[in-house]
Amino acid sequence: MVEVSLIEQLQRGDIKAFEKLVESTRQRGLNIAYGILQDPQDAEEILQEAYLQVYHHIGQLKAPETFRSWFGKIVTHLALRRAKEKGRFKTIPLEDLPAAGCSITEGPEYFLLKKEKQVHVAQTLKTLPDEYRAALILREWEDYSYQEISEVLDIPLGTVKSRIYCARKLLSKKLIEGGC
Amino acid sequence: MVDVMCCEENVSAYLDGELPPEEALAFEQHLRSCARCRESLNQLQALSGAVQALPRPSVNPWLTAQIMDRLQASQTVSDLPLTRLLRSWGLLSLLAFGALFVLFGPVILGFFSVVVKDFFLLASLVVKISRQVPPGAVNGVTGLALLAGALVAFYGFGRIYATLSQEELIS
Ligand SMILES: [Zn+2]
Repeated sequence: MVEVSLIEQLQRGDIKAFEKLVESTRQRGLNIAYGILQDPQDAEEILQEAYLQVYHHIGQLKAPETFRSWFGKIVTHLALRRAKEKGRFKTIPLEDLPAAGCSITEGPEYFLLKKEKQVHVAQTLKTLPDEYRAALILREWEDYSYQEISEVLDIPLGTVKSRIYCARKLLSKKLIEGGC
Repeated sequence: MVDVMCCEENVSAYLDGELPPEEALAFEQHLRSCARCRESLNQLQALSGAVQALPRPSVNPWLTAQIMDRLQASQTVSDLPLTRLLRSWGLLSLLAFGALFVLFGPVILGFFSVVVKDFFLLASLVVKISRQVPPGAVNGVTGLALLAGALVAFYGFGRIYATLSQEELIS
């Protein structure tokens, strides 16, 4: 990873290294923030905040190779906090989530994507509970492993597995109900 | 026959390449004979593809510059020797306040409750007394010292607040 040497330079106080680090990680950070907040402006504000925290707390990062999950954690926490403050999406209460083990009976043609379906998927994604959307976004958009997601969200590995499954389950259920 | 393997949560984990190697192998074996799991896998795969294909905003090209600006702005303030001194004062005043509170907590609280309750009475008393004090150098200096003391105390509370709110940052 390119970042490791940049982080070491940054920890020695090299501000140029910080600039390069921002350049090389900002799209990733924006994706996470946007995935959770679903609002480009909010996502960018959160990202700026996240980088200021990265700069001020980089000394606390003991192993530079874990930057990915450390950075993901900062962005995710800030974004989840902002989402909570705004409470703008009507999400499904956790107790209404499907029990694990029930199966998806409808065919994959529901998810075949045309433009309008894409809009529909995006709209439906917004209605997932924030923590579920966060886990799914980290997995699908940024290819975080379950281990990394468990570090980012501070939840056990088994919970990551079921949370991602539940997020998918819920998403497909709502897509089908939405008549798409 | 419903296999123990027929668990959609495992199908989802398999799709993510997150089953342990031996479990993944066993699951692949199972897939050959289980149409239901094959179907689930197809569906989850399609859904996953749909999510991955969703559009994302691209980074505003000035973002890095904006971040660097904010950083430099906060640094020029925080790197001045004076701000550094003041910041350490913040910590000192926190300690001093803590010690004071441990020693004289009830007295301080009692004093403040009187101040709050009988504010107007106290204020008019202070005004009355200060009118009766004859103007002179000694009294003037005492008055100024009291004023400065009040300002320092006020500032100290501000620093305590700032120090406390800084501690709240992400770990
Ligand atoms: Zn099966």
